[in-house]
Amino acid sequence: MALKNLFPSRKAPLWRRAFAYVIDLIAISIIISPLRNFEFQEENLSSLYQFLINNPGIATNFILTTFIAIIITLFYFAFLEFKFKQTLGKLIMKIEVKSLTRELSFSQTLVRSITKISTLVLLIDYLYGVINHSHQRFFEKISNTEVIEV
Amino acid sequence: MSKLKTIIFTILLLWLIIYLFSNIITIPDLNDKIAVITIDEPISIGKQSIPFQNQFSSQDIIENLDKASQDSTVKGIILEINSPGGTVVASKEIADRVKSMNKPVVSWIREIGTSGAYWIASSSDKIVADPLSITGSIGVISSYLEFAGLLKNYNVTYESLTTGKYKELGSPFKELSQEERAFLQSKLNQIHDYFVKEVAANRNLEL
Repeated sequence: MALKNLFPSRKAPLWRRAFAYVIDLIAISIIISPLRNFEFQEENLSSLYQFLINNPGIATNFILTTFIAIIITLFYFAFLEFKFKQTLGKLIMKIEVKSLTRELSFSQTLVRSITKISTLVLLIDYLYGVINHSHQRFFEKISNTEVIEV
Repeated sequence: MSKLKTIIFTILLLWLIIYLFSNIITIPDLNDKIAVITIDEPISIGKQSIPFQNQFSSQDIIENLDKASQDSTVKGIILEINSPGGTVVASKEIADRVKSMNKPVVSWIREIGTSGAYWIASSSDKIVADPLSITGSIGVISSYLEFAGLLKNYNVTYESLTTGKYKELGSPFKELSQEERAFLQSKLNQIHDYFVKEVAANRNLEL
């Protein structure tokens, strides 16, 4: 029996996870840096929507760029966590993803990574755990994964 | 290969894929602009060259063209023209500046774009006009009110002392002599010839 199975895993504290996430965000921003940022000058969502309606070419490129950024973010987290149980941030902060049921699968890492396409959405996801006094985000719960210290 | 190196390699590989992809999709610079410069009054050198009429000073228009030329976010210029034309030199100054612009210029003739205004339009890269727009009038006119007869009717004598043969050319207080008329006409003909040649060259037309 592996030694580490004799000892229960320590749940990764919030600060480690937060720092790991920041490092990962930096890595993702480096990856998508060749995509130019759209600097819209519209003051609110309504005028932005109207601007995009009136400029279908720009709207198409904007949607395409946003879609690529989302795919890259999902792939970064899902693939690296599946392959190595860690992303760059988690590796540096010495934490990793662990499956609560079977061997960690790609579908599990994909599901748990869904909310990482937006920091705001991730925060709401994390609040679930806080409200329920659990160390797991909602999408970690439904993917049967957790983050532990290495 | 260590885990760290593999992860970093993966990140770099993803970056490369995005870099190659970014060369395919065109993301426009949202700061790109088209400058619209309006010419909807008669054109002159100074603002009061033509009495009792609002005018566009050639200096103002050239300043706007210069601004558009120097602004890196301006990618092209539209001249919105609704003018009957103006004075010779003012029209030429603007036309020359339009011709020397380093960005595409399109002239959009609204109701009227004649004479000097058409000269300016012909200097641009493209002219857009409505089928009912009035254009052309490639000619020169010089006119003034001559009061010699009126003065005579009121027994008013006009006295002037001048030096030089044509010093008093175009005075409203005396009749134009045949010689003076011929001289003025020859000047108009010169301007007209120049005007026609310029427009023909600008529009790639043979004379």
